[in-house]
Order: sequence, then C-alpha cells, then structure tokens
Amino acid sequence: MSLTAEKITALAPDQASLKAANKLTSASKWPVLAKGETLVWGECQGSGANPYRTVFDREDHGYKCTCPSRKFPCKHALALMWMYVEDPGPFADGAVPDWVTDWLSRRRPSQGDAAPQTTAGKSLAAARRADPETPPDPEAEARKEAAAAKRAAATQASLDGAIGDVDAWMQDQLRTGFGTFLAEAPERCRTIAARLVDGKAQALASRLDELPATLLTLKGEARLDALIQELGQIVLIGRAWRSNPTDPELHRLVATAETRESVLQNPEAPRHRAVWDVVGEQVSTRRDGLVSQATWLMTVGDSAPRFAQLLDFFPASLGKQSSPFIVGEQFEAEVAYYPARVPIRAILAERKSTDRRQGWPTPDAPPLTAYISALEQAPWLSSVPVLLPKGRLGPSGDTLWWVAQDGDLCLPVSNDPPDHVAGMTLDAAVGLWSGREMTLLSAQTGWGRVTFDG
Amino acid sequence: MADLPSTLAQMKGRWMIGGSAAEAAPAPWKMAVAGDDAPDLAMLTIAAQAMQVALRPTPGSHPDLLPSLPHLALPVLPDAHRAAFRRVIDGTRMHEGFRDALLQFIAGRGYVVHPLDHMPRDSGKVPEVYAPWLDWKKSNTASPETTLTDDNWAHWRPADRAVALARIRRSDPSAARRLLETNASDLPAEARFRAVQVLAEGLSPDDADYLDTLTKDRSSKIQVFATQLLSRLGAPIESAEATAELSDFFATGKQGLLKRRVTVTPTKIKTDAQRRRRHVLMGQVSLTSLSQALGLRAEDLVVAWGGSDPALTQDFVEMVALTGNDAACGLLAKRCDRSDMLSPTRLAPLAARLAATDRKTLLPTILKAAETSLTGVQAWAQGMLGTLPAKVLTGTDAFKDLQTRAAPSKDGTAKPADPILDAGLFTLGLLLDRDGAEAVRTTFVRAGMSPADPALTLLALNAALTPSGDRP
Repeated sequence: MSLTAEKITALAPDQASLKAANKLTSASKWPVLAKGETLVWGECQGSGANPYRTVFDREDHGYKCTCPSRKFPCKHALALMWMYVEDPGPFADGAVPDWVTDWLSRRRPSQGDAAPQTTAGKSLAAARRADPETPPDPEAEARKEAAAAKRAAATQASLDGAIGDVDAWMQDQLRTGFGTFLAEAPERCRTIAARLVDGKAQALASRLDELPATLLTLKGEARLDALIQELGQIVLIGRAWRSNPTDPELHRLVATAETRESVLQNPEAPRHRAVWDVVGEQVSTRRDGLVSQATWLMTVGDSAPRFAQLLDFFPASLGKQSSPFIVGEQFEAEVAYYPARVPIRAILAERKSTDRRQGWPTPDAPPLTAYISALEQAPWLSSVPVLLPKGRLGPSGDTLWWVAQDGDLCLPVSNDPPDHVAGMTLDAAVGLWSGREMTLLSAQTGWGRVTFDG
Repeated sequence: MADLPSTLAQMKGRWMIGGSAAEAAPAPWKMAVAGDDAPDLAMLTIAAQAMQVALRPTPGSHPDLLPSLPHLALPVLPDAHRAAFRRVIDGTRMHEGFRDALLQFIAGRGYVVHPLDHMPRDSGKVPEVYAPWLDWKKSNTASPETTLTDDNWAHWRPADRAVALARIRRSDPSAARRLLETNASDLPAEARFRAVQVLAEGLSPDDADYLDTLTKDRSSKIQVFATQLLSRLGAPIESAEATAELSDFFATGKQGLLKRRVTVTPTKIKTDAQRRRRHVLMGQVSLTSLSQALGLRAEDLVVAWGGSDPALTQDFVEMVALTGNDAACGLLAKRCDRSDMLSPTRLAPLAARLAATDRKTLLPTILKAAETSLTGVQAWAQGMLGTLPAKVLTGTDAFKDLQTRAAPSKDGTAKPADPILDAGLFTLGLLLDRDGAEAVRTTFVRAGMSPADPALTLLALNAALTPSGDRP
C-alpha cells in the first residue's frame, strides 16, 4: 500500500504531532535523506547531541526513530514521511545502512498498520498554517526577565546550600571512616544525593548516586582508591564552584548542562571542523532511571587527535534505543564544544558525509601525556580520552593489561573482550584513562576495527 | 617525598578507620592545607590528585602475551557482506548445526568469516580451513606450515593435524595409516580419537590389521570406533549370543506372487523391557552379523527392511550408517521417501557415509521426499552448498509450501512469525547458487514478503557473494 498524505494524517497520534512535524519538513534539517527498495531513511538533528535516525517502510508504513519521544510515530517519522510524499526528489538512492538493517532484523511486521488510524481532528493543512504572531509586550518581557533573575538568585543560594551539605557530609564520612562507608555506600550516597537534588545540584547528586555501583565493580584496594579519588574530586568541584559560581563548566559539573541552543549561540563555545571517526559508544543505565548514551569521536588525518563526546540522556522506560552512529563511521562535521578548560563534551553543529576514509592519527607523544596535561587544567576530570600506540592485550593475574609494543608501559584494562582479541596486535587503540584503569573504546588491528564494550 | 605509596598507604589506613590523616601526610601537603576551613577535605583532594597523577598500577608479573591469531588459508569475508553475515548468524542462535552449515556455505564460496563476527566452536563439523583457529583457541599455538611427517608429528596441534592427516588419507590412504601406526599411540585419548577418525575415509581391507590393534586401545571410544570400521569390512564385531538374541526380534518372510520378495519385519514386542533390550542390541550388533543371522546378505537386509516402528527404524539407520558397507548405505539412502519411516531427516546419518557424487545423484530423490521441510536436505547437500540451481528446488512440494506460507493473509491481517518459513528460506539460502538465490528471493518478494524481511537475508547474501576466486 503506497503512502499518502491522508495515510500520514491517520498515522499521526494527534494534531500537535503534525504541527511539530511541519517544522521539520525542511531538507536543511536533514543532513541525510535516502531511499532504498521499500525503505526511506534520514537523519535529523534534534535537541540531543546525537542526531536522530528515522526510517519508514513505504509498503507497510512501519517506522522507527531513535528519538526518545513517547509519541508513535514521532514528529521525525511523520516529517520524513511527509517530505517523501510531497517530493521524493531530495531522497538519494542508497544502500541500506547498518542501523536500518539492525532495525529490520528486530521489527515486528506491519507495525504501521497496527496503530490506530483515523484522520478525525487532524489535518496536514492545518498543521502547515503558521501560528498568529503576537505583538511583543515590553512589560511582560520585563516581568519575565525579573522572574528569571529572581530564579537565578534562588538557584545560586540553593546550590550554595547544597555544596555546604556535601562538604558536611564528606567530613562525616572521614570522621566515621571509609571502612564503614564502603559497607553502607548505597544508603549513604542515596541520602546525600536526594538532598543535593533538592538543592538543585543534580550533576553532583547523580555522580554520588552512581558511586556505589562503580565501587562494586572494583576489588580490594582499588575500591578504596576509587572512593578517595571520587570524593576528592567532588570536594574540588565544590570549592572551585564557590570561587567562581558563574563559570559554565563548573555550573555544569554541579547543576545542569546548558541547552543545545545556548551552546550553539555562545560565541565562547570552541568549535572545531574536521573529519571525525566514531571511535566508541558507551551506554549505561543510571540509578535515577535515565540512560546515558555517549558517542565518542576522534579527528582523523595527520594532525594530533582531538576528541569529542556527544552525550544524551533518555528515560530507561523507553527501552533500548538504537545507536545513533556505527563505530567506525566517518563524517565531516563542525562540533561545538561546551565551554570548558579541556573541551570534551560537544554537540554537532553541522555535519556532512565524507567519501574518502582517513586513517587514525599517529600518537606523537607518550600516551599518558594528554591525560596529565588535561588534569593540570581541569583536575576534576574523572577520565580523559587517549590514543594508544601499537600494543597487545594480555592477562596478568586476574586483570587484563594493555602492553605497549616497546614494553615500556602496561595499563590495566577494565573491558572483558573475547579471548581471541588477545591474539591481535592493536595497531592503535582509543580508550578512557582514569588514572586507575583504561576503558578501551575501539582499536585498529590487522583484522580491522575492534570495538570494545564499555 | 621519597615514598609516596607508603605515605598514601598510611593516610588511607587512617581514613579507613576514621579520623584525620594529617599526621601521616607529608610536610608540603600539611603546609598547603594550613589555614584551610576544612583541612581534612583539602588533604583528601590532594591525596586524590596524587593517586590519579603520580601513581600508576603495575602488573604483578609481565602480562602473558599470546601468539597472534593465525590468518587462514582463505580470505576474510569482504566488509560489504559482514553486516549481512552478522544478521544471519544472529538469527541462527537456536541451532549449532545451522551455524556450521553457514560456515560451510561461506567456505564453499572461498571465504572465512571475520573472527570478530563469529569464532567457530569445535563441533567436529566446522570446515577444515578453520582448524588453525580451533587449535589456537585451545592452546594459543600454531602448527608448523609444512607437510605432516613422522619427524614433525609432535609439533602439530590436534585440529590441524587431523586436517593434514585427512588430506594425506585422501591422496595416499596407506601413508596416512602408517603415520597413525607410528605416532598415534603417544597422543592423549581425545587427540588420538580425532586422529584415527580419518580411517573412516578410504577404508579398505589393508586397514584391518591396524584396526584390530585399535580394538584393544586403552580408550573405549576408539575401541568402539575401530570395531565399527572392522564391521564395515565384514568382520563380526560382537558375540554370537547377542546376534542370535537380536535376530529373534525379527521374522523373515516372502511377499509377492511372482517375484517372492524377501521381507524382514519386527516380531511383536510384549513389554517395555524387551523394547529396551532390542534397542541396546541394535547398538551392539553389526549389519553384517544381523543379516547373516537372518540368512541374508547385508544389502538384502537393507532392501527387505520393513515395519512401522520409527524408533526401531532409527536404530536400523544408525546401524547401517555405523557398521554397513558403502553399498548398504547407498541402498538404504535410495529408499528415502515421504513416509515418516524413511524421510530425509531420519536417513540423515547415512549422508556422511556417501561420496559427494552419490549424494548428488540421490538429491532429486531426497528433495522429492522432503514434503514440507527442506531442513533435512542440508545434510545431503554437504559439499554442494551454494551450488544448486533454482530449478532443482523450485519444483518441490516443500518449496511450494514455503510460497504458500509467504503469501499475505487473505483478510490483510499481519501473519505471526513462521519458523518453518524462516528455516526453509535459510536452507534455500544455503543450497542455491547465486542466480538461484536471486531468483528465489525475487519469487518470495513477489509472493508478498518485504524485500527487507530478515528471513531473506541469507538469500540476498548468497546472491551478492561473488566467489573469492572471481573477485578482481
């Protein structure tokens, strides 16, 4: 059954979805638009750091989008269908990409037709009509600004109180001893995290809430070392914030991150245009019910490597989300970094596909130099991405180690890759070094790219 | 600060039990926190930084670095096909046999899989080309890249040695046997069994003396195996009492007015104990002995076999496959039909005993008998995977049944998942040649399946996978 405008109207969950979809029906919002035998897919840059990948089946109208919307179909799927029905011209013929075939292998048949379908109360034409513009009201604007200033002051006071709370709590832990703390970490961290959430210090709360789970993955003395490092960094962040509460990086570490739009509009947000290689993905479910999805990028080519982390969060209740990128994918993009002493977290400001694959850069300094340098500038960083030179993996005791080919450096590895990866020479590898262990993301080998589970 | 680790150890000790660690801290740190509102917290941050920057874990002993994973004799599947392969292999999670067949199909096209997409398990049916990986997985060592001889026998890993022996056995059966006679007794039981298994191929009376010695091997598994091979050569392998007892479970008769065809039918069983005893004896007595006890030649017994007990027929098929000569195996295979008694699946143990040319000759019979399922056909198509033209398969009832299953429902509602359709399309993907795979894929899309249906992935991979020798 071919897709029609009426069918799209029927598929839409409500008129608001059609209205939202209408705002996305510009090809400029879709860096990728393509079609295959029966499938149409595209990538839309939404409010997250990673682009949303959307696909639908022209025949049975099944669809999938990587956005976290609870509406089905979401505005991205509706917009993609709408654009295709109106003008399939911009949709280039292409080979079905891996993320689409991954969806195909999991999908249920006739998903689109299974949705309740009625056009009652919904209209594409109405969705297209622009909202009437309301004239600016200076008084209302002034009231809004005053309210915002008041809220900011209240937030500041609240955060100040939260930092005080965490300092007092930390002194309690030192007084009662880390031995007791390690035995009661979940309860103790939960209590202080709840107080920090009340004090609007969500980022610190989340960090403390995750601490027990991190400690549980470690054994023996490594657990105490990790505890000291983490608590020491939290104290440092609190003190740094108090000395400069308007610093955007410190505000992000204590409270919340800026919106995508504010980063894009911020002239001080550093930008970097390059060909990027997707070197890894880390997905973890947090105790607060959010899933954190981090995509790691590294520049390729001859110059020294630069890294960027695209970080998104979505509710765990939405279920498993498809990966926004495939590890090993390369594209040309300008990334906008969140302002920071060592810029790592970023969003994609602009992206286009690249025809020519480029090799990874060659490390030109000892592998941990970048780490030491980063910590000199931002001592609160819990891990730093590094590019490792040629090496191998091998066990010593019950720990897996990365061993440099020249044998000068051995670093403990937190991953548990399949045994046969230890039979491959890692020509180069990217990992996150925490000072205690290396979490490998991916490596180049004579067998091709190896991806490690975080 | 001469010894940071021991200083930190003392501070950590204080913090573990609770209280200030300032006393244990080095003088510069104490000076740094002097005057701080919360000196213990400040000391904690300094210690944390020191641990993060100045200390690095070191291994107790140098990590064990394994030898490199060996490259195999065939090229790795091209990148363009790896994603399709991963989808197919993920879809075969339920059945190890499917995975081995998929590896055989890919090896037939001249490729091996990428080790990160799939590392084969040593199931005994993995294509020979993977032997270096199987050995590497077991011992992380590789075999010498030379011809197997008495001199280098000990340097070979078990899987590689079995492959090298099998190659020698195919070209010079006596040379392979002589290598075994000289060297096999020094191997551990499992490796010894793996090595002597090559004797099943190219079996001849010349092997009888060595097989006789193997019947006294210290491994009971090898004793049984050698006895079965001897029985294929016509030697009795069991006590006369057991043969006599088993033959009492059967009656011979004549059927037909003119030709008076001989029939062998089971006598009526009265108790379960009798049934169990008959099953045990069927596993002990050879085809030759049973046929002699019934006054028949082995080939005559195969032709005369009758009855309607599936379990007993299965025992008989296994008896023929293990102890029958090649002619008996061929005759029984020719009796393949649509009945539950002699279906392609039930007769599958015979497939490994037949030469590829014999199986190819038999394939039309097998396909005709495969009424509703092509799965049982796989075993018969070993060595022919990925080579059958579409016309061999599209006329079969099993193929037509799959087409019916693929058609959309008459009322337009979504059909539930159909494991028979999925397994049938997977089997077609394994059996067909490239043109056939594309033609069949098109047929099923026209029948109503989505071209992107995961069940069609192997057909699409087959159609796209150029033999490695043909690649530019």
